Amino acid sequence: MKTLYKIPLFLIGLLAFSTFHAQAQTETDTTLIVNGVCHMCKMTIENAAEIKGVSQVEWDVDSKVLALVYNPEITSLEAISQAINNSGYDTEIDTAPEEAYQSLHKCCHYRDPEVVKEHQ
Amino acid sequence: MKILRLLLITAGCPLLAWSQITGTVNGLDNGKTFPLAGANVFWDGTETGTTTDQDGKYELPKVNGHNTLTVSFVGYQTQSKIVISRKGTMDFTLKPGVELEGAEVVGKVDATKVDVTKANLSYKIDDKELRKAACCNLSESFETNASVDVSFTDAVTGTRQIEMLGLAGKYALIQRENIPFARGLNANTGLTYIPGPFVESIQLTKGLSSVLNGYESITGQINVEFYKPETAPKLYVNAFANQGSRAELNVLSALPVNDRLSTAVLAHASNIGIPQDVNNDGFADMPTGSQLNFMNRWHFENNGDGWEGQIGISAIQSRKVSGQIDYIESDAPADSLWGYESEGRRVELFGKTGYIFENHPFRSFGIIYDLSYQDHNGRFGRRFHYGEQQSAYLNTIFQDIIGTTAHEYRTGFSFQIDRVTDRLSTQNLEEPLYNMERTEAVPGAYFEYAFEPSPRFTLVAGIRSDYNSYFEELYVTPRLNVRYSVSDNTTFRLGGGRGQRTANVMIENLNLLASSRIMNFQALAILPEVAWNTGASIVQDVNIGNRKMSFTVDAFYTWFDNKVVADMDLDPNTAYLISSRGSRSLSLLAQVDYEIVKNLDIRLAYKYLDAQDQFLGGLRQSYLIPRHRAFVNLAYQTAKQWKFDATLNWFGAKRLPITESSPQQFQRESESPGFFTVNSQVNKAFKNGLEVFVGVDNLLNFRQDDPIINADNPYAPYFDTNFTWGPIFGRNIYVGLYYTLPDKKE
Repeated sequence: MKTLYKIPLFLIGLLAFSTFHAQAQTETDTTLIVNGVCHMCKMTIENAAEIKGVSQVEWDVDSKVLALVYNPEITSLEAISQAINNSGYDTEIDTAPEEAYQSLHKCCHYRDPEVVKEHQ
Repeated sequence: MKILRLLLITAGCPLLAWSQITGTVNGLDNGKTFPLAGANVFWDGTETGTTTDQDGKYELPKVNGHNTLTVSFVGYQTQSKIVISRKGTMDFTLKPGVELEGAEVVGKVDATKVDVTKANLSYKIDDKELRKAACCNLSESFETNASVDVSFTDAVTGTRQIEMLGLAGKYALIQRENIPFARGLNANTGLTYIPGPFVESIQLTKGLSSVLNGYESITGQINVEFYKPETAPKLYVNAFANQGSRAELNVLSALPVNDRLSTAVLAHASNIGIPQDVNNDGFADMPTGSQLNFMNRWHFENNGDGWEGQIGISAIQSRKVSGQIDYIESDAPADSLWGYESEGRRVELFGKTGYIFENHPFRSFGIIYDLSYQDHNGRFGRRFHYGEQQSAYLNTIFQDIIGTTAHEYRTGFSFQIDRVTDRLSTQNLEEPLYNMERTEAVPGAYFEYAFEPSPRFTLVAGIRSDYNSYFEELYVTPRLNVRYSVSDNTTFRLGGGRGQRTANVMIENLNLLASSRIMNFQALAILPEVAWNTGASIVQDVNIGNRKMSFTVDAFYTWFDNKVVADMDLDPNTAYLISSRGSRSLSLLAQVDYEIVKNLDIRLAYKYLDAQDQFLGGLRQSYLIPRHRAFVNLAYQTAKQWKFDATLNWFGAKRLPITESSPQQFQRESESPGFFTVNSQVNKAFKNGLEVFVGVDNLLNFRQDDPIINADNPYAPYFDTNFTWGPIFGRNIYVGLYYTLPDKKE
């Protein structure tokens, strides 16, 4: 049952990502859009994304694109997205839990248009 | 749990769950949250939206390319969140806020703040700012606002008049919750009829405002929001006393009746018991008397079906006595004594009803109405003034978008009818000296279009057309406001248009009667006052470290096609009330706001005013408007809820009426000297809801010594009180408290 719900999620992943191509059998090179506004966000996002099986993470504050390299046999895009959500950040797949978002520093409140303005 | 929920959603209807944002919208009131049914939820710039159900829940598909999810609900501040996810939960908690005008999104609440999103230059002053200057009524609420100045009209009546853009307060549209308030007979008394503690916030708009509110605003718009049943505390008490023997009590109480209905009572009583005469001219420095205000208002909301409304009644009674001390203190004053008496009453019924269309979050309809009766009996020595006004007002507002939120419009019709009596008579004559009785019915219609292609640019173009039965003419009022934000730190604004009002000649110039001048109405025409106003402003923010320094510079120019001018120059014993063309006013204001160190805010402002009236002898400076004006305000707040506030004011020279032809001893300089005043206040708030304050007005004890000419012989020629350019009463110490009943924890 647990894997059943992942199927539609995985399909979204497949559909939505403009660059999705398996590099080799063991490494997947892809991107995930993660919302954030500042350098502090970057550190949190990258730390959160580095779960087991992820070998490279690089998030860009302007494009909001998180470039990822991971081993699909060990982890999945949904799992990475989930880990990022749990750290308080919305990804293009799902939203972060409210409590996790609220625990972020005020300057990282990327959902607030006022905060976004201040960072532009 | 989260996984389980996801599982249920995806298993239940997998197709929807792929791209669905769900969540709950709550309202926040007195620290408690509760679900809001019928709130609008939509993606900015799209027509995709929904309303929340009975439990405040919503579901909305994600729209590609649109990432701002906005929630609005009548009576609450609109809130937006940036959402990039295709699915997930997004909850909203709305704070109480704006009334009935779905489109008016008032920004984040700093004490006073320029609202950057509006097309015209507007400021919001909230109750935090209002508490900085605790006494007493609305006319004192602009202490720390550079755009508005308050001064006495004369040395006897105690009437305070506001000045905006170099012009009297009557040229601004003063509204209570978007209902025109200080107009007609109330133009003179309007501000003193609004007790400060009733006020929740004030929105100040410089220059011409929306055609929605009518054609009467010329210099700007002051909209006062009272505490409402939905927002007022259960119990709120304010008490105040000052050295000038003024005592005041305000009580507010809000009660929810049931889920749909709530009510609030607002009451005010004030009294000045003992006449003061610090300058020993035999005249009281300010009137003694009392004022009572009572208001009961109701708010109803039919959960979920889009209807909302409010209705209320208000009653005001005011009594003032002034003039010679002997007159005030005597029960049966001798006929030789000069006295001033004023008795005013006002009753009012007002209401609003609004409807938001289901599935069309931008479409709404509102009706605003008001019925009022007001009268005024005045005595100025041996002259008597009687004023009466019956008014009915109706305004309708329909608003919607055209395709996307980039194109919005508001339209509606309005109807105003006024029956006004404005009569001046004397003891000796049976025939009145001046008698104006008119009925003025004004049906009108307006259309306003707002174009906002990006958050950086707004254009608001409005036009209205009104038929006036008194002048038997159709008037067209066009207005335009444009805003462009070059960056987040720089905003330019430009605006202009036409404004018009009907003068009530004697009512608006009662101060002239506090003299022995003969009133002359020969050069008065039956014409409306018409003016054109144009203005531009720049708001520039500069980041210094992590603090923001904010610069505001604005310039406004007003030109009168027709204005009623009181000419006191030609003859020191006559006041000519004339209709003239070509009066003008230029106003320049520069202001800096900066937080010097944490919790220490400074505001510096300088204002240049070149106000000129077309007198009988040609164009000259307007009376009592300083050419230069500056102030510095310092506000400091500690973590322990101590607040310190101090303002240093500087007023430049003011033009006085010409007295060259008067006998030597009754002559005055052509201009007043410049002077400084300092006001200061300390507040301390306690955890149990109590806040106490002590303050001093005019700390330096600066006084104008001789505000009255020929004060010894008030029934002889040359007696005149219209030379009041500075404080008459010196240093004035006051104390007071606010008490808010803390909410019971549930």
